[in-house]
Amino acid sequence: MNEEWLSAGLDGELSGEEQAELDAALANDPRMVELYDELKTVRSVLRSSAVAVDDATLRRLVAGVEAADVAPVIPLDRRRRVPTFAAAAAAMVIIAGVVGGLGGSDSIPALGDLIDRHEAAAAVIDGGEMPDMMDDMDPMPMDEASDAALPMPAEYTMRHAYVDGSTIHLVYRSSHGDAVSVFRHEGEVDVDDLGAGSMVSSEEADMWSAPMDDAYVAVVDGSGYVWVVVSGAPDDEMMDAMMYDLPRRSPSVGERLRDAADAVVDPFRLWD
Amino acid sequence: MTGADPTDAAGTVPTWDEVARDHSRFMYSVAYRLAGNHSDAEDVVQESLLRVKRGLVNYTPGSLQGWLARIVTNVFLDETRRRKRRPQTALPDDPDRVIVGAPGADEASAMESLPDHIQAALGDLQEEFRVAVVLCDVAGLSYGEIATQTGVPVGTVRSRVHRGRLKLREALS
Repeated sequence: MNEEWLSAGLDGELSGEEQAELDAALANDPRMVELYDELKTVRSVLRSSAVAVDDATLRRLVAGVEAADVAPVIPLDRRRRVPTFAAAAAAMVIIAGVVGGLGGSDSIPALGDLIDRHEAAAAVIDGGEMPDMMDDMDPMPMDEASDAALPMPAEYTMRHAYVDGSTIHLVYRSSHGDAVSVFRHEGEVDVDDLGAGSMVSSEEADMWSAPMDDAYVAVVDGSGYVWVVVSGAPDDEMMDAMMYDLPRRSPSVGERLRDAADAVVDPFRLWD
Repeated sequence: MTGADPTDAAGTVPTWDEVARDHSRFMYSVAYRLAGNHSDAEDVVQESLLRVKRGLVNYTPGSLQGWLARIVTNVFLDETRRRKRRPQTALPDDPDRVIVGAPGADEASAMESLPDHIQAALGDLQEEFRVAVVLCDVAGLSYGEIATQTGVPVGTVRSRVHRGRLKLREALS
């Protein structure tokens, strides 16, 4: 018999034949009995020990989920666990200064402004009124927006599109209700100058990302455009997948992003 | 704790309120044993509850706690992978929160904290062993259910549970 049968026997996972063989071994081997009893104790301790959590904590977690299903929120404690937040926040200022080649008023807005725009657009999707800050953005015909858009997985539906000079703001909503904003700007940016954050580079593009305010932000530079993707949650799985799949070789930045996003069409992994 | 309502015998899909009321404690237990601290367990539970709330419409009546444990484990593993990619510093538990709170009366008699050295030993286990032991001894899943959840053969589950317990036995002794 195999020693693993001791645990399997405790769990009732042996066949009748195996159990008989185990019983015979235990009857003739005191050392086996000793190990069996020790494993039994481990099992008993684990099964009889409850985790101390009070009802208030559970109620708070449930309430957080119910709130999150209305509007994206930061998971508990996540913000204070991100050590690079302060440094990343500084990038909001830096990015406006490092983008060149656009001229005039077409410079890329600060990331903080883009986050505000994303949140405003997400609120509109959820039925809110158009905030004043969106006044300078003109609605963009959806067919034109589709031509300019990144290829996105079917789960993400473009809900709104706005244009302001050379900046296009595309607003998507997933089938699960999450809002994602994609900003496209003509030009380039040196993502190395964006400050603390995660970096991924490939031959064709570089991606910088970091949690920022109540959002998760990624900046992709390549193909003559700067793409800024803003998600309502700092740990958006689509963003993670985008970032870490970026170095894969494929024909374009857009296709790489789509390939990465396809990997999370089932973001909840319920049916793996 | 284990074996309590492991199966949705009525063959009905529970409501969100029922899951939140009757099973969030179970989910927390699984999450805490996997994560090893309350701060991370809360994150895992909240994300898991969100997935449950959004996924209930697709739930097929069966082993409800098996389904819940699967979601908690997936969230935990997702978080673990995420942290490996982006190392972060977990805050230590607030000592004020690591106390026995206000368990239901029917649970009070069973409330017994896992000895610190056992919980520490559980946290030191390789991830695959810890998941197997927690799903078996905390979530109360069968080897077959664990195999389905983790995508490995039943024989591998048998091995992982045993090897995990052997490590914990050393901590106990």
